[in-house]
Parts: sequence; C-alpha cells; structure tokens
Amino acid sequence: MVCIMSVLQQKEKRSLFLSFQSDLTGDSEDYSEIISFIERIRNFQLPESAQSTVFSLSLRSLRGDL
Amino acid sequence: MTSDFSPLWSIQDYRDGFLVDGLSYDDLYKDLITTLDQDPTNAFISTIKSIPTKPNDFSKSLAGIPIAVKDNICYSKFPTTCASKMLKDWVAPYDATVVSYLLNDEATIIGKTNLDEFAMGNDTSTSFFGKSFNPWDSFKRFSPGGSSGGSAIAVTLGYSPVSIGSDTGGSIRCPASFNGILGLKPTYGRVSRYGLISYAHTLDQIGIFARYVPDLSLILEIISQNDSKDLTYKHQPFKSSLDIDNPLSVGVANNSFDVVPSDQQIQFKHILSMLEDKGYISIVPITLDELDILLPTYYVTAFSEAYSNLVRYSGQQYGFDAGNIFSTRLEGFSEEVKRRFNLGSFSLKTGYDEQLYAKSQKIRSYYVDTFTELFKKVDVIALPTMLDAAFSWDEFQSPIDSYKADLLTVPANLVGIPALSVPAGFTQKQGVKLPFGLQLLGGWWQEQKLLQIAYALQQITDYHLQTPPNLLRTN
Repeated sequence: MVCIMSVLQQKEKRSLFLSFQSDLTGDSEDYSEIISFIERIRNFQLPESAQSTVFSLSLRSLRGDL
Repeated sequence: MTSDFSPLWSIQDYRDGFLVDGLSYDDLYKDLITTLDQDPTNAFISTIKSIPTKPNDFSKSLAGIPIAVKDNICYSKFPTTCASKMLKDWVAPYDATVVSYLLNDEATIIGKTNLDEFAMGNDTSTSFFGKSFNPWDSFKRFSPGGSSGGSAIAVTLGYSPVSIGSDTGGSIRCPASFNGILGLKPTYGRVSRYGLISYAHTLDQIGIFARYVPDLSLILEIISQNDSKDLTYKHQPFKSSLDIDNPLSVGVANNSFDVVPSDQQIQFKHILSMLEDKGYISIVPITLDELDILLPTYYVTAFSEAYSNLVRYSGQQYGFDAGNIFSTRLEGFSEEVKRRFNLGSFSLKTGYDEQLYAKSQKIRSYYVDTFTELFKKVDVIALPTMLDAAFSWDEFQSPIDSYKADLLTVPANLVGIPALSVPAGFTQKQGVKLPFGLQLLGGWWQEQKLLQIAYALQQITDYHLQTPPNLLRTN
C-alpha cells in the first residue's frame, strides 16, 4: 500500500510539474509518450562495475584522454 | 569567370582557376550573388549582397574560396539567428574561432545557412525562416535532413565546395546522407566550439561538409588549430595522409545493417566487399548490442542541457523581448524548442535528476568503455548513417517518430568519437532518386582513418559526383 501511494504521489507530482511548466510556455502538449520513452533508461541494468560509478563521465572521457 | 567553371569544382579547382586560369574573383561573386538570391531550396538565412573584398594573398590555401556557415555559429558580418525568432536580429560582436581560422586563410564567407531552430531537429523544418527542401526532388516533397540542412544543400548545389555545420546527435551526418555528400563530426574537443551557440554542450561539435575528401581534410586541418577560449578543446594537430598503406580493419556487426531497407543493405555489403577486394580494408565481425538504449539516453542528456542553455533567453539581456519572460518564451520559441525546454526542466527536476540525467551519464560512461574495447579490436566501425534515405514531409506522425530516426547517429556524440557519412549509393522513394550514406566511426582522434577509407571509396565509385537532376547551380 505504501508502495502504491508512493507511485501515485510521484505521478501526481509529475503531472503537476508539467502542468506548471506548460503554463509557463503556453504549451498544453501531452508529453506522456516522450516521457515513457526517455524513462526507459531508469530500468536499464548497467553492469555492477558501472553501477558503482557515482558520476564517472567527464569531458576528458569524451575526448578519450582519461 | 572561365568558360569551364563547374559547380562541382574542388578547392584546388578554384585555386587553379584564380592562380592559373584567370578566374575573375569579381565575376565569380557577381554570379554567385545572383544564384544565391534565386536559390529554390531556402538553404540560406542571410547571404552576401555585394561583391566581397578581394583577398590580399591568393597563395593562401583558402583565398577566395566560397564557404557557407551554419547560422548557429557567430560571424560578426551577418546576424546569427539560430533560425529563431528569439535571435532573428542579433549580430554577434565577435567571430567564432572556426570563422576566424577560415578568414585567416582568406576564405570568403558567402552566407549563413538554414537549420532547425537552435539545431533541435533532423529535418530543417522548424526554422523561423521557413523549411529548407531536399534538392534531389524538384517538387520539394523531401527534407534535406538536419539540423544543418542548409549547409549540406550549399555543397550539394555547388554554391560552395565546403561548408561548416554543427552535430549534436547527427546534425551533420544526417543531411550529408540525405544530400549525397561527405559530412564529418570530429572527435569531441578536436575543433573549438567558441562561438557556437550551445544546444547541448557535452554533445555539440562543429564539423564539415564537402564533396571531396581532400577538401574536407584541408578544412579540418585549418579549423582544428589551437584555441584557448574553449576549455573543452584539446590540441591534437591534424595532418592527413589519405593513402592506405596497410588494410584498415573495419568492424561490422552482424545485425547492424538489418535496420535499413533491403536494397540499401545489399548496397552497403557491395561497397564494403569492393573495398576489401581492393585491399583497402579487412572486415571483422563484431558484436554491438543494445544500441537502442542510447536513444533515450541521448534525449535525456540533450533535453537537460538544452534547458540549461535556453534559460538565458529571457528577453532581458538580448534578443526578442515581448515585455515579460513568459511572453518572450511563449512567442520567441517554436513548439519543438518549447517541448525540449519543458522536458529538460522535467529531467533535471529534483527527484528525477538521479533517475534521468545522472543515469544517462552513467550509461554514457559505460558505453565509452564499450567503444574503447571495440577500438582495441578494429580501426573503424561501419554502420548505415540513417535508417533510410530522406524523409518525406508527411513521414512522421509524432515528435517521437522523428527522434527515433537518430538511432544510428547519436552513439558517436554520446561517447565523443569521430564519425563520417560517406555517399554510398542511391535508392528510390515515391519515384524520386535519393542518395544515402555509409557511416564510419573511429576511435578518439582517428579522423584520418575515416578519411582514408572515404578517399579509397571515392577512387572506386562515382556516387559523390552525381548531382540533383534539376536544381544544380547553372552559373
């Protein structure tokens, strides 16, 4: 039950936030399809070694000079 | 002008024209001004209106060479609009580093090219100044690709032998593929981004369009020179040798070409076999799994960084001002920019940032390691550039359909490696002959290997010499 409440609250918060944002830009678009698409990364399982990396990406790594 | 002028001229042809054959600079630009005024594709946002000052020294490598520059790169002689109402009259008070290097070599910048607003798109349709059209269809039913569509058209139609664009998730390679020309996204940090108006700063990179590999190589050598104004720049001198002494190993994943139509699959296999038969490459099977996850990873990163870069457009410092910040953004940004602004704000919101932006950076990090391992086994990886030839304007029903078309171009931006689209053949869509490109990905700083394979391909094929049937420049 606690878990369900937590999910509902999160969805509610998301909805409220986007509604607020939409008011700011006058954009009433329903973003649910795009949000479902980008939220796929939440469930992507990284290997253990990558999971433990707190924030390992740096501009140096993008240039290959780690 | 000389009687043998051709819109297919290379940089060397122009140089020979000026130095040997008596090509008149004034006549060349007089004709070009007329041609650009009559451009049927809407490739430019602004163009030269009078004959530019003649170069002082025609022995310089780019003296008098016409070059087009994407309109998100600052040049103080023209407005830099980013194809947005927000910046429609804004003139930069300085030149981007790449522009300075081109001008140092006495290039003549002929105008600023059209793009998707703030480079956010892949079809050059969201410009405040109207969409650009693919020159391969005179009925204007197809996109030139984007976001650097105008710069690609400039080379395709012979307005300039080379042009400058920017590539955040494929914005050079996509239009290069759709126009049948070369398009290079260099290694992240190879070319200074000083003066490039940021869309997503860990993904953005300035790059080059050209018809011929030696031209592309020369421009890369010039614009990749040192710059202390961009802290992400790393000085790695580039001096290209285009001949292949020993075969380069090219990694081909067994399923990576299955995503394109069958005629294009056959053509890709044909040209890779040709290169192998001639001794230029050796094909090595590789495994390249789960690239699909890189697409949402890319969009989370791009939306988030776009938001952080767009908040400066409030009307208070420069650009369009509708009287208050809300109206300024409401009226100043197009739908696609507002969409990305809102989704970026969402991705960075407390509570979601760990699950979205931070997670996307972890995935990027993991794929940096994955590609590092791959490039220990092969010199280059071959992929299609896009999933098909040019989109028709009615092909996508929703924004997400358009986002999914970037599947094969975003990996190079996420991990920072160089990638080149090379003309690879033609297909038919709605009865129209349209080009498509082969994408070559290299390890960090290995642009030379990409150019060597492209150069070899241009020696044994003529795809790069074929031109649109009706719209090619005639004077």
